[in-house]
Amino acid sequence: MISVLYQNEVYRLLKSRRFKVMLLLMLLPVVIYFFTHEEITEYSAKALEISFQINISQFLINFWASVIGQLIVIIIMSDLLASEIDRGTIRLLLVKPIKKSEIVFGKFFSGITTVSLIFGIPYLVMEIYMVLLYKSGFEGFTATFDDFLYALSVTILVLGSLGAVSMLLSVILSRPLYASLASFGLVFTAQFILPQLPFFDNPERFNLSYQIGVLLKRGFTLHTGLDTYKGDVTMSALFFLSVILLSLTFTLLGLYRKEYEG
Amino acid sequence: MEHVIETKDLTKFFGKRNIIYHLNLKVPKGVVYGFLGPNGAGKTTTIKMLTAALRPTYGEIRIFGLEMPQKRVEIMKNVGYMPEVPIAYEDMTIVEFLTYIGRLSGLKKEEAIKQTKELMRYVGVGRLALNKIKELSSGQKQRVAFASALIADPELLILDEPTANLDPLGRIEFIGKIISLAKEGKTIFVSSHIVSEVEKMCNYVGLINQGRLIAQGRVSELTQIEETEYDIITSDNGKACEFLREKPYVREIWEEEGTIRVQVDPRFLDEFFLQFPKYLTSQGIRLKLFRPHTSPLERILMEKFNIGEESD
Repeated sequence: MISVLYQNEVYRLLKSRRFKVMLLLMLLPVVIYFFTHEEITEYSAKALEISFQINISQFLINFWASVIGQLIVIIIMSDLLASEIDRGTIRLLLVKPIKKSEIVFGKFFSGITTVSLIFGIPYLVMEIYMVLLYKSGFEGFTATFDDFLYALSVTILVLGSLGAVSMLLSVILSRPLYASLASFGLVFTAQFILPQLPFFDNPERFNLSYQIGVLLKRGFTLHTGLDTYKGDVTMSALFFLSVILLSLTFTLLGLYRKEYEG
Repeated sequence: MEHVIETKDLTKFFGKRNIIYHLNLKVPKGVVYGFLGPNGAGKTTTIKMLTAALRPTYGEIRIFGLEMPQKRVEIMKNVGYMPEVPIAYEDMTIVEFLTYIGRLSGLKKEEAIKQTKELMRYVGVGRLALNKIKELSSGQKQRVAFASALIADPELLILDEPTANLDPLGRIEFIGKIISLAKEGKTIFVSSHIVSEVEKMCNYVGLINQGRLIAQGRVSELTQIEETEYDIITSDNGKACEFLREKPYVREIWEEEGTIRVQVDPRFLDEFFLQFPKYLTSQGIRLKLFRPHTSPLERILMEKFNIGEESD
Protein backbone atom coordinates (compact mmCIF):
# COMPACT_ATOMS: atom_id res chain seq x y z
CA MET A 1 0.00 0.00 0.00
CA ILE A 2 2.91 2.32 0.76
CA SER A 3 4.01 2.06 -2.88
CA VAL A 4 0.58 3.26 -4.11
CA LEU A 5 0.71 6.26 -1.81
CA TYR A 6 4.34 6.95 -2.72
CA GLN A 7 3.78 6.73 -6.48
CA ASN A 8 0.73 8.97 -6.35
CA GLU A 9 2.48 11.56 -4.19
CA VAL A 10 5.62 11.66 -6.38
CA TYR A 11 3.44 11.98 -9.50
CA ARG A 12 1.45 14.82 -7.91
CA LEU A 13 4.61 16.65 -6.82
CA LEU A 14 6.38 16.27 -10.17
CA LYS A 15 3.30 17.52 -12.01
CA SER A 16 3.07 20.64 -9.87
CA ARG A 17 4.18 24.05 -11.10
CA ARG A 18 6.03 24.47 -7.82
CA PHE A 19 8.41 21.63 -8.72
CA LYS A 20 9.28 23.18 -12.09
CA VAL A 21 9.96 26.60 -10.57
CA MET A 22 12.12 25.11 -7.83
CA LEU A 23 14.08 23.03 -10.32
CA LEU A 24 14.74 26.10 -12.47
CA LEU A 25 15.92 27.99 -9.41
CA MET A 26 18.29 25.19 -8.46
CA LEU A 27 19.71 25.16 -12.02
CA LEU A 28 20.83 28.75 -11.55
CA PRO A 29 24.36 27.87 -10.28
CA VAL A 30 24.90 25.73 -13.39
CA VAL A 31 23.99 28.70 -15.58
CA ILE A 32 26.31 30.91 -13.53
CA TYR A 33 29.11 28.39 -13.91
CA PHE A 34 28.43 28.19 -17.64
CA PHE A 35 29.16 31.91 -18.03
CA THR A 36 31.82 32.40 -15.34
CA HIS A 37 34.03 29.33 -15.22
CA GLU A 38 37.79 29.76 -15.48
CA GLU A 39 39.71 28.85 -18.54
CA ILE A 40 40.55 25.15 -18.72
CA THR A 41 44.29 24.53 -18.84
CA GLU A 42 44.49 20.82 -18.14
CA TYR A 43 42.23 18.36 -19.92
CA SER A 44 42.16 15.15 -17.86
CA ALA A 45 39.80 13.08 -15.71
CA LYS A 46 41.84 13.92 -12.61
CA ALA A 47 41.69 17.68 -13.27
CA LEU A 48 37.97 17.32 -13.92
CA GLU A 49 37.42 15.52 -10.62
CA ILE A 50 39.30 18.17 -8.62
CA SER A 51 37.43 20.95 -10.33
CA PHE A 52 34.09 19.13 -9.91
CA GLN A 53 34.64 18.65 -6.18
CA ILE A 54 35.61 22.32 -5.72
CA ASN A 55 32.72 23.70 -7.73
CA ILE A 56 30.05 21.38 -6.36
CA SER A 57 31.08 21.98 -2.75
CA GLN A 58 31.19 25.76 -3.28
CA PHE A 59 27.75 25.90 -4.87
CA LEU A 60 26.35 23.42 -2.37
CA ILE A 61 27.57 25.30 0.69
CA ASN A 62 26.82 28.78 -0.61
CA PHE A 63 23.66 28.27 -2.66
CA TRP A 64 22.04 24.85 -2.89
CA ALA A 65 22.06 24.08 0.84
CA SER A 66 21.83 27.68 1.97
CA VAL A 67 18.65 29.58 2.81
CA ILE A 68 17.09 29.05 -0.65
CA GLY A 69 17.65 25.29 -0.62
CA GLN A 70 16.40 25.02 2.93
CA LEU A 71 13.30 27.01 2.08
CA ILE A 72 12.57 24.71 -0.87
CA VAL A 73 12.80 21.62 1.32
CA ILE A 74 10.62 23.19 4.01
CA ILE A 75 7.93 24.15 1.48
CA ILE A 76 7.84 20.68 -0.08
CA MET A 77 7.97 18.64 3.12
CA SER A 78 5.62 20.69 5.27
CA ASP A 79 2.93 20.44 2.60
CA LEU A 80 2.89 16.63 2.43
CA LEU A 81 0.84 15.85 5.53
CA ALA A 82 -0.48 19.29 6.44
CA SER A 83 -2.32 19.65 3.13
CA GLU A 84 -4.04 16.28 3.72
CA ILE A 85 -5.06 17.36 7.22
CA ASP A 86 -6.03 20.87 6.13
CA ARG A 87 -8.22 19.67 3.21
CA GLY A 88 -9.61 16.76 5.21
CA THR A 89 -8.37 14.19 2.68
CA ILE A 90 -6.48 12.46 5.52
CA ARG A 91 -9.87 10.96 6.37
CA LEU A 92 -9.90 9.28 2.95
CA LEU A 93 -6.65 7.58 3.91
CA LEU A 94 -7.85 6.61 7.38
CA VAL A 95 -10.85 4.74 5.98
CA LYS A 96 -8.58 2.67 3.77
CA PRO A 97 -6.59 -0.38 4.89
CA ILE A 98 -3.37 1.57 5.12
CA LYS A 99 -1.24 1.87 8.25
CA LYS A 100 -0.46 5.28 9.67
CA SER A 101 3.25 4.41 9.51
CA GLU A 102 2.81 3.74 5.77
CA ILE A 103 1.23 7.19 5.41
CA VAL A 104 4.15 8.89 7.20
CA PHE A 105 6.92 6.94 5.44
CA GLY A 106 5.19 6.99 2.06
CA LYS A 107 4.87 10.75 2.27
CA PHE A 108 8.40 11.25 3.58
CA PHE A 109 10.01 9.17 0.85
CA SER A 110 7.96 10.83 -1.86
CA GLY A 111 9.12 14.21 -0.56
CA ILE A 112 12.72 13.01 -0.43
CA THR A 113 12.44 11.70 -4.00
CA THR A 114 11.24 15.10 -5.16
CA VAL A 115 14.00 16.87 -3.24
CA SER A 116 16.54 14.44 -4.74
CA LEU A 117 15.35 15.37 -8.23
CA ILE A 118 15.33 19.12 -7.52
CA PHE A 119 18.93 18.93 -6.30
CA GLY A 120 20.16 15.89 -8.24
CA ILE A 121 19.25 17.18 -11.72
CA PRO A 122 21.37 20.36 -11.36
CA TYR A 123 24.29 18.35 -9.93
CA LEU A 124 24.04 15.94 -12.87
CA VAL A 125 23.74 18.74 -15.44
CA MET A 126 26.78 20.35 -13.85
CA GLU A 127 28.68 17.06 -14.02
CA ILE A 128 27.82 16.43 -17.66
CA TYR A 129 28.67 20.00 -18.60
CA MET A 130 32.05 19.78 -16.87
CA VAL A 131 32.80 16.41 -18.52
CA LEU A 132 32.20 18.09 -21.88
CA LEU A 133 34.22 21.10 -20.84
CA TYR A 134 37.19 18.99 -19.77
CA LYS A 135 36.77 16.76 -22.84
CA SER A 136 37.26 13.72 -20.57
CA GLY A 137 34.44 11.58 -22.02
CA PHE A 138 33.14 8.45 -20.34
CA GLU A 139 36.26 8.15 -18.17
CA GLY A 140 35.64 11.59 -16.71
CA PHE A 141 31.97 10.85 -16.20
CA THR A 142 32.67 7.66 -14.21
CA ALA A 143 35.41 9.41 -12.22
CA THR A 144 33.03 12.14 -11.07
CA PHE A 145 29.87 10.03 -10.79
CA ASP A 146 30.68 8.80 -7.26
CA ASP A 147 31.35 12.44 -6.27
CA PHE A 148 27.95 13.33 -7.70
CA LEU A 149 26.32 10.52 -5.67
CA TYR A 150 28.19 11.53 -2.53
CA ALA A 151 27.17 15.18 -2.86
CA LEU A 152 23.57 14.12 -3.40
CA SER A 153 23.63 11.78 -0.38
CA VAL A 154 24.99 14.53 1.85
CA THR A 155 22.33 16.92 0.56
CA ILE A 156 19.57 14.39 1.24
CA LEU A 157 20.89 13.58 4.70
CA VAL A 158 21.15 17.20 5.84
CA LEU A 159 18.12 18.63 4.08
CA GLY A 160 16.15 15.42 4.74
CA SER A 161 16.53 16.04 8.46
CA LEU A 162 15.16 19.53 7.95
CA GLY A 163 12.32 18.04 5.91
CA ALA A 164 11.51 15.52 8.66
CA VAL A 165 11.33 18.33 11.22
CA SER A 166 9.01 20.23 8.84
CA MET A 167 6.77 17.17 8.58
CA LEU A 168 6.59 16.91 12.35
CA LEU A 169 5.64 20.58 12.66
CA SER A 170 3.08 20.17 9.88
CA VAL A 171 1.28 17.43 11.84
CA ILE A 172 1.26 19.60 14.94
CA LEU A 173 0.09 22.76 13.17
CA SER A 174 -2.11 21.13 10.47
CA ARG A 175 -1.71 24.01 8.00
CA PRO A 176 1.00 23.99 5.30
CA LEU A 177 1.68 27.73 5.58
CA TYR A 178 1.93 27.74 9.37
CA ALA A 179 4.14 24.65 9.26
CA SER A 180 6.46 26.29 6.67
CA LEU A 181 6.71 29.47 8.73
CA ALA A 182 7.33 27.53 11.94
CA SER A 183 10.01 25.39 10.29
CA PHE A 184 11.71 28.42 8.84
CA GLY A 185 11.48 30.17 12.21
CA LEU A 186 13.06 27.16 13.90
CA VAL A 187 15.84 26.91 11.32
CA PHE A 188 16.52 30.64 11.53
CA THR A 189 16.62 30.54 15.34
CA ALA A 190 18.84 27.47 15.45
CA GLN A 191 21.26 28.70 12.78
CA PHE A 192 21.44 32.42 13.37
CA ILE A 193 20.01 33.43 16.74
CA LEU A 194 21.19 30.70 19.14
CA PRO A 195 24.84 30.87 18.00
CA GLN A 196 24.81 34.57 18.96
CA LEU A 197 24.54 33.59 22.61
CA PRO A 198 27.94 33.94 24.37
CA PHE A 199 28.25 30.36 25.69
CA PHE A 200 28.30 28.72 22.26
CA ASP A 201 31.79 27.96 20.94
CA ASN A 202 32.36 27.98 17.20
CA PRO A 203 28.82 29.16 16.41
CA GLU A 204 29.34 28.53 12.70
CA ARG A 205 28.95 24.78 13.34
CA PHE A 206 25.23 25.33 13.92
CA ASN A 207 24.86 26.29 10.30
CA LEU A 208 23.56 23.55 7.99
CA SER A 209 25.82 24.77 5.19
CA TYR A 210 28.81 24.40 7.50
CA GLN A 211 27.76 20.84 8.35
CA ILE A 212 27.52 20.12 4.62
CA GLY A 213 31.17 21.17 4.44
CA VAL A 214 32.04 18.83 7.30
CA LEU A 215 30.27 15.89 5.64
CA LEU A 216 31.70 16.60 2.17
CA LYS A 217 35.20 16.52 3.62
CA ARG A 218 35.21 12.69 3.83
CA GLY A 219 34.21 12.05 0.21
CA PHE A 220 35.78 15.06 -1.49
CA THR A 221 39.40 14.23 -0.62
CA LEU A 222 40.83 16.09 -3.60
CA HIS A 223 39.39 19.41 -2.39
CA THR A 224 41.80 20.41 0.39
CA GLY A 225 39.85 23.61 1.06
CA LEU A 226 37.28 21.56 2.94
CA ASP A 227 39.79 20.98 5.76
CA THR A 228 38.74 24.33 7.22
CA TYR A 229 35.42 22.73 8.20
CA LYS A 230 36.19 21.33 11.63
CA GLY A 231 34.04 18.52 12.93
CA ASP A 232 33.59 14.78 13.16
CA VAL A 233 31.97 13.44 9.99
CA THR A 234 30.52 10.35 11.71
CA MET A 235 29.03 12.38 14.56
CA SER A 236 27.48 14.85 12.12
CA ALA A 237 26.02 12.03 10.00
CA LEU A 238 24.65 10.29 13.10
CA PHE A 239 23.14 13.54 14.33
CA PHE A 240 21.24 14.16 11.09
CA LEU A 241 20.15 10.54 10.88
CA SER A 242 18.87 10.70 14.46
CA VAL A 243 16.96 13.90 13.71
CA ILE A 244 15.27 12.15 10.77
CA LEU A 245 14.34 9.05 12.76
CA LEU A 246 13.18 10.96 15.83
CA SER A 247 11.15 13.44 13.78
CA LEU A 248 9.45 10.65 11.84
CA THR A 249 8.69 8.76 15.05
CA PHE A 250 7.12 11.84 16.63
CA THR A 251 5.26 12.58 13.39
CA LEU A 252 3.78 9.09 13.59
CA LEU A 253 2.87 9.59 17.23
CA GLY A 254 1.29 12.93 16.31
CA LEU A 255 -0.78 11.21 13.64
CA TYR A 256 -1.94 8.60 16.18
CA ARG A 257 -2.89 11.28 18.71
CA LYS A 258 -4.53 13.64 16.29
CA GLU A 259 -8.28 13.91 15.78
CA TYR A 260 -9.84 15.07 12.53
CA GLU A 261 -12.90 17.14 13.25
CA GLY A 262 -13.08 19.04 9.98
CA MET B 1 -27.94 -11.90 16.33
CA GLU B 2 -24.71 -11.03 14.57
CA HIS B 3 -23.89 -7.34 14.75
CA VAL B 4 -21.70 -5.68 12.17
CA ILE B 5 -21.38 -2.51 14.23
CA GLU B 6 -21.64 -2.56 17.98
CA THR B 7 -20.78 0.26 20.36
CA LYS B 8 -20.74 0.04 24.11
CA ASP B 9 -21.12 3.20 26.21
CA LEU B 10 -19.56 5.22 23.41
CA THR B 11 -18.97 8.69 24.80
CA LYS B 12 -17.29 11.73 23.33
CA PHE B 13 -16.32 14.97 24.99
CA PHE B 14 -14.92 18.00 23.20
CA GLY B 15 -13.26 19.80 26.10
CA LYS B 16 -16.01 19.90 28.69
CA ARG B 17 -18.80 19.58 26.13
CA ASN B 18 -20.42 16.18 26.06
CA ILE B 19 -21.31 15.45 22.43
CA ILE B 20 -22.08 11.74 22.57
CA TYR B 21 -23.40 10.13 25.70
CA HIS B 22 -23.23 6.36 26.39
CA LEU B 23 -24.22 5.32 22.90
CA ASN B 24 -25.01 1.63 22.51
CA LEU B 25 -25.50 1.04 18.81
CA LYS B 26 -26.29 -2.41 17.48
CA VAL B 27 -26.35 -2.76 13.72
CA PRO B 28 -27.30 -6.27 12.60
CA LYS B 29 -25.81 -7.83 9.49
CA GLY B 30 -27.59 -7.20 6.21
CA VAL B 31 -29.83 -4.32 7.32
CA VAL B 32 -30.12 -0.76 6.12
CA TYR B 33 -29.75 1.10 9.40
CA GLY B 34 -31.05 4.66 9.40
CA PHE B 35 -29.27 6.81 11.95
CA LEU B 36 -31.86 9.50 12.35
CA GLY B 37 -31.71 12.68 14.33
CA PRO B 38 -31.94 16.47 14.04
CA ASN B 39 -28.99 18.62 13.01
CA GLY B 40 -26.38 18.70 15.76
CA ALA B 41 -27.64 15.49 17.37
CA GLY B 42 -24.22 13.86 17.12
CA LYS B 43 -24.65 11.74 13.98
CA THR B 44 -21.49 12.93 12.21
CA THR B 45 -19.41 12.77 15.42
CA THR B 46 -20.53 9.15 15.89
CA ILE B 47 -19.64 8.32 12.29
CA LYS B 48 -16.24 9.98 12.68
CA MET B 49 -15.60 7.73 15.67
CA LEU B 50 -16.73 4.71 13.67
CA THR B 51 -14.27 5.64 10.94
CA ALA B 52 -11.36 6.43 13.31
CA ALA B 53 -11.25 10.13 12.52
CA LEU B 54 -12.09 10.85 16.17
CA ARG B 55 -11.14 8.88 19.26
CA PRO B 56 -13.88 8.05 21.77
CA THR B 57 -13.40 9.68 25.19
CA TYR B 58 -14.47 6.31 26.50
CA GLY B 59 -16.50 3.35 25.40
CA GLU B 60 -15.93 0.62 22.84
CA ILE B 61 -16.50 0.29 19.12
CA ARG B 62 -16.57 -3.11 17.47
CA ILE B 63 -16.95 -3.50 13.72
CA PHE B 64 -17.13 -7.06 12.35
CA GLY B 65 -16.34 -8.05 15.95
CA LEU B 66 -12.96 -6.27 15.79
CA GLU B 67 -12.05 -3.40 18.02
CA MET B 68 -11.82 0.06 16.49
CA PRO B 69 -9.40 1.88 16.20
CA GLN B 70 -6.93 -0.85 17.25
CA LYS B 71 -7.84 -3.06 14.27
CA ARG B 72 -8.57 -0.21 11.86
CA VAL B 73 -6.55 -1.63 8.97
CA GLU B 74 -8.30 -5.04 9.06
CA ILE B 75 -11.73 -3.44 9.51
CA MET B 76 -11.32 -0.97 6.69
CA LYS B 77 -10.70 -3.73 4.14
CA ASN B 78 -14.46 -4.24 4.19
CA VAL B 79 -15.80 -0.75 4.82
CA GLY B 80 -16.86 1.91 2.33
CA TYR B 81 -17.32 5.41 3.70
CA MET B 82 -18.96 8.47 2.25
CA PRO B 83 -18.60 11.68 4.29
CA GLU B 84 -21.24 14.37 4.69
CA VAL B 85 -19.22 16.87 2.67
CA PRO B 86 -17.51 15.08 -0.23
CA ILE B 87 -13.75 14.95 0.30
CA ALA B 88 -11.51 14.37 -2.69
CA TYR B 89 -8.21 15.39 -4.22
CA GLU B 90 -9.52 18.38 -6.14
CA ASP B 91 -6.71 18.41 -8.74
CA MET B 92 -7.31 14.82 -9.80
CA THR B 93 -9.69 13.77 -12.55
CA ILE B 94 -12.54 11.44 -11.59
CA VAL B 95 -10.73 8.49 -13.20
CA GLU B 96 -7.47 9.26 -11.40
CA PHE B 97 -9.22 9.74 -8.08
CA LEU B 98 -11.31 6.57 -8.20
CA THR B 99 -8.41 4.46 -9.45
CA TYR B 100 -6.20 5.81 -6.68
CA ILE B 101 -8.86 5.13 -4.02
CA GLY B 102 -9.35 1.65 -5.49
CA ARG B 103 -5.66 0.92 -5.26
CA LEU B 104 -5.51 2.23 -1.69
CA SER B 105 -8.38 -0.15 -0.93
CA GLY B 106 -6.15 -3.02 -1.95
CA LEU B 107 -7.23 -3.55 -5.57
CA LYS B 108 -4.69 -4.33 -8.27
CA LYS B 109 -4.24 -1.66 -10.94
CA GLU B 110 -6.29 -3.50 -13.58
CA GLU B 111 -9.06 -4.26 -11.08
CA ALA B 112 -9.12 -0.66 -9.88
CA ILE B 113 -9.43 0.63 -13.47
CA LYS B 114 -12.21 -1.86 -14.25
CA GLN B 115 -14.12 -0.98 -11.08
CA THR B 116 -13.66 2.74 -11.77
CA LYS B 117 -15.20 2.40 -15.24
CA GLU B 118 -18.16 0.41 -13.94
CA LEU B 119 -18.81 2.69 -10.97
CA MET B 120 -18.60 5.88 -13.01
CA ARG B 121 -21.42 4.52 -15.16
CA TYR B 122 -23.30 3.26 -12.09
CA VAL B 123 -23.33 6.65 -10.32
CA GLY B 124 -23.85 8.60 -13.53
CA VAL B 125 -20.58 10.48 -13.97
CA GLY B 126 -19.24 8.45 -16.89
CA ARG B 127 -19.24 11.37 -19.33
CA LEU B 128 -17.26 13.49 -16.84
CA ALA B 129 -14.51 10.90 -16.41
CA LEU B 130 -11.69 13.24 -17.43
CA ASN B 131 -13.00 16.28 -15.56
CA LYS B 132 -11.08 17.41 -12.52
CA ILE B 133 -12.94 17.02 -9.23
CA LYS B 134 -12.73 20.78 -8.63
CA GLU B 135 -14.73 21.38 -11.81
CA LEU B 136 -17.71 19.31 -10.61
CA SER B 137 -20.89 20.52 -8.95
CA SER B 138 -21.52 19.49 -5.35
CA GLY B 139 -24.07 16.90 -6.50
CA GLN B 140 -21.57 15.38 -8.93
CA LYS B 141 -18.92 15.34 -6.19
CA GLN B 142 -21.41 13.48 -4.01
CA ARG B 143 -21.82 10.86 -6.75
CA VAL B 144 -18.05 10.48 -7.02
CA ALA B 145 -17.82 10.11 -3.25
CA PHE B 146 -20.48 7.38 -3.42
CA ALA B 147 -18.49 5.60 -6.13
CA SER B 148 -15.34 5.83 -4.00
CA ALA B 149 -17.21 4.22 -1.09
CA LEU B 150 -18.24 1.33 -3.34
CA ILE B 151 -14.95 0.82 -5.14
CA ALA B 152 -13.70 -2.21 -3.18
CA ASP B 153 -17.15 -3.80 -3.02
CA PRO B 154 -17.27 -3.51 0.80
CA GLU B 155 -19.53 -5.51 3.10
CA LEU B 156 -20.36 -2.44 5.19
CA LEU B 157 -21.20 1.01 3.86
CA ILE B 158 -21.16 4.00 6.19
CA LEU B 159 -22.90 6.94 4.57
CA ASP B 160 -23.13 10.31 6.29
CA GLU B 161 -26.07 12.38 4.98
CA PRO B 162 -25.57 10.89 1.50
CA THR B 163 -28.31 12.82 -0.26
CA ALA B 164 -27.43 16.22 1.19
CA ASN B 165 -26.20 17.73 -2.10
CA LEU B 166 -28.39 15.79 -4.53
CA ASP B 167 -31.32 17.21 -6.49
CA PRO B 168 -34.76 15.56 -6.08
CA LEU B 169 -34.21 13.20 -9.02
CA GLY B 170 -30.77 12.32 -7.76
CA ARG B 171 -32.24 11.52 -4.35
CA ILE B 172 -34.80 9.14 -5.82
CA GLU B 173 -32.08 7.47 -7.90
CA PHE B 174 -29.81 7.22 -4.85
CA ILE B 175 -32.51 5.65 -2.66
CA GLY B 176 -33.10 3.07 -5.41
CA LYS B 177 -29.38 2.24 -5.42
CA ILE B 178 -29.31 1.82 -1.64
CA ILE B 179 -32.27 -0.55 -1.81
CA SER B 180 -30.62 -2.63 -4.54
CA LEU B 181 -27.31 -2.73 -2.60
CA ALA B 182 -29.22 -3.92 0.46
CA LYS B 183 -30.70 -6.72 -1.64
CA GLU B 184 -27.14 -7.83 -2.44
CA GLY B 185 -26.71 -8.43 1.29
CA LYS B 186 -24.62 -5.39 2.21
CA THR B 187 -25.01 -3.77 5.59
CA ILE B 188 -25.64 -0.07 5.17
CA PHE B 189 -25.37 2.47 7.96
CA VAL B 190 -26.85 5.74 6.75
CA SER B 191 -27.26 8.92 8.73
CA SER B 192 -29.96 11.39 7.83
CA HIS B 193 -32.28 13.99 9.25
CA ILE B 194 -34.86 13.46 6.51
CA VAL B 195 -37.54 11.11 7.82
CA SER B 196 -39.16 10.31 4.47
CA GLU B 197 -35.81 9.15 3.04
CA VAL B 198 -35.08 6.93 6.01
CA GLU B 199 -38.57 5.43 5.71
CA LYS B 200 -37.96 4.56 2.08
CA MET B 201 -34.47 3.15 2.51
CA CYS B 202 -34.17 1.64 5.95
CA ASN B 203 -35.54 -1.39 7.69
CA TYR B 204 -33.71 -0.64 10.90
CA VAL B 205 -33.47 2.68 12.66
CA GLY B 206 -31.63 4.36 15.50
CA LEU B 207 -32.92 7.67 16.80
CA ILE B 208 -30.37 10.05 18.26
CA ASN B 209 -30.98 13.37 19.93
CA GLN B 210 -28.52 15.54 21.87
CA GLY B 211 -25.95 12.75 21.77
CA ARG B 212 -28.25 10.13 23.29
CA LEU B 213 -29.71 7.13 21.53
CA ILE B 214 -33.44 7.46 22.12
CA ALA B 215 -34.56 4.25 20.45
CA GLN B 216 -33.37 1.64 18.00
CA GLY B 217 -34.84 -1.40 16.38
CA ARG B 218 -36.74 -2.59 13.33
CA VAL B 219 -38.81 0.16 11.77
CA SER B 220 -41.82 -2.16 11.71
CA GLU B 221 -41.51 -2.80 15.46
CA LEU B 222 -40.89 0.79 16.46
CA THR B 223 -43.80 2.17 14.48
CA GLN B 224 -46.52 -0.03 15.95
CA ILE B 225 -48.31 2.93 17.44
CA GLU B 226 -51.87 3.67 16.48
CA GLU B 227 -52.40 6.76 14.44
CA THR B 228 -55.17 9.14 15.50
CA GLU B 229 -55.01 11.83 12.81
CA TYR B 230 -56.01 11.03 9.24
CA ASP B 231 -56.23 12.72 5.86
CA ILE B 232 -59.36 11.78 3.91
CA ILE B 233 -60.60 12.63 0.42
CA THR B 234 -64.02 11.43 -0.71
CA SER B 235 -66.23 12.07 -3.71
CA ASP B 236 -68.46 14.16 -1.38
CA ASN B 237 -66.35 15.78 1.32
CA GLY B 238 -69.29 17.93 2.53
CA LYS B 239 -71.45 14.96 3.51
CA ALA B 240 -68.53 13.06 4.99
CA CYS B 241 -67.61 16.06 7.15
CA GLU B 242 -71.23 16.42 8.29
CA PHE B 243 -71.28 12.79 9.39
CA LEU B 244 -67.97 12.99 11.25
CA ARG B 245 -68.81 16.26 13.03
CA GLU B 246 -71.76 14.57 14.71
CA LYS B 247 -69.62 11.78 16.17
CA PRO B 248 -68.45 12.24 19.77
CA TYR B 249 -65.20 10.39 19.15
CA VAL B 250 -64.08 12.95 16.60
CA ARG B 251 -61.99 15.44 18.50
CA GLU B 252 -61.29 17.85 15.68
CA ILE B 253 -62.20 18.05 12.03
CA TRP B 254 -61.41 20.58 9.33
CA GLU B 255 -61.14 20.71 5.58
CA GLU B 256 -58.06 22.03 3.85
CA GLU B 257 -57.61 22.24 0.08
CA GLY B 258 -60.07 19.44 -0.59
CA THR B 259 -58.69 17.15 2.12
CA ILE B 260 -60.53 16.39 5.33
CA ARG B 261 -58.28 16.13 8.34
CA VAL B 262 -59.80 14.35 11.27
CA GLN B 263 -58.47 13.70 14.74
CA VAL B 264 -60.03 10.72 16.50
CA ASP B 265 -60.13 9.89 20.20
CA PRO B 266 -57.75 6.88 20.41
CA ARG B 267 -60.17 5.03 22.72
CA PHE B 268 -62.80 4.91 19.97
CA LEU B 269 -60.72 4.07 16.94
CA ASP B 270 -62.55 0.78 16.43
CA GLU B 271 -65.92 2.56 16.22
CA PHE B 272 -64.52 5.08 13.77
CA PHE B 273 -63.16 2.36 11.50
CA LEU B 274 -66.46 0.48 11.59
CA GLN B 275 -68.90 3.34 11.22
CA PHE B 276 -67.22 5.65 8.75
CA PRO B 277 -66.76 3.21 5.84
CA LYS B 278 -70.27 1.87 6.43
CA TYR B 279 -71.70 5.39 6.18
CA LEU B 280 -69.80 6.13 3.00
CA THR B 281 -71.05 2.92 1.37
CA SER B 282 -74.62 3.60 2.40
CA GLN B 283 -74.49 7.08 0.87
CA GLY B 284 -72.74 5.93 -2.31
CA ILE B 285 -69.70 8.11 -1.53
CA ARG B 286 -66.42 6.90 -2.95
CA LEU B 287 -63.30 6.97 -0.75
CA LYS B 288 -60.45 8.42 -2.80
CA LEU B 289 -57.76 8.72 -0.15
CA PHE B 290 -57.35 7.58 3.41
CA ARG B 291 -53.98 7.81 5.13
CA PRO B 292 -52.42 8.71 8.47
CA HIS B 293 -51.62 12.42 8.59
CA THR B 294 -48.04 11.84 9.75
CA SER B 295 -45.86 8.90 8.82
CA PRO B 296 -45.32 6.34 11.60
CA LEU B 297 -41.64 7.23 11.86
CA GLU B 298 -42.42 10.92 12.09
CA ARG B 299 -44.80 10.20 14.94
CA ILE B 300 -42.15 8.19 16.72
CA LEU B 301 -39.72 11.06 16.32
CA MET B 302 -42.23 13.62 17.58
CA GLU B 303 -43.03 11.44 20.52
CA LYS B 304 -39.48 10.49 21.42
CA PHE B 305 -38.03 13.94 20.89
CA ASN B 306 -40.96 15.58 22.73
CA ILE B 307 -41.44 17.97 19.84
CA GLY B 308 -45.07 18.71 20.66
CA GLU B 309 -44.32 19.32 24.33
CA GLU B 310 -41.41 21.63 23.58
CA SER B 311 -43.49 23.77 21.26
CA ASP B 312 -46.20 24.01 23.94
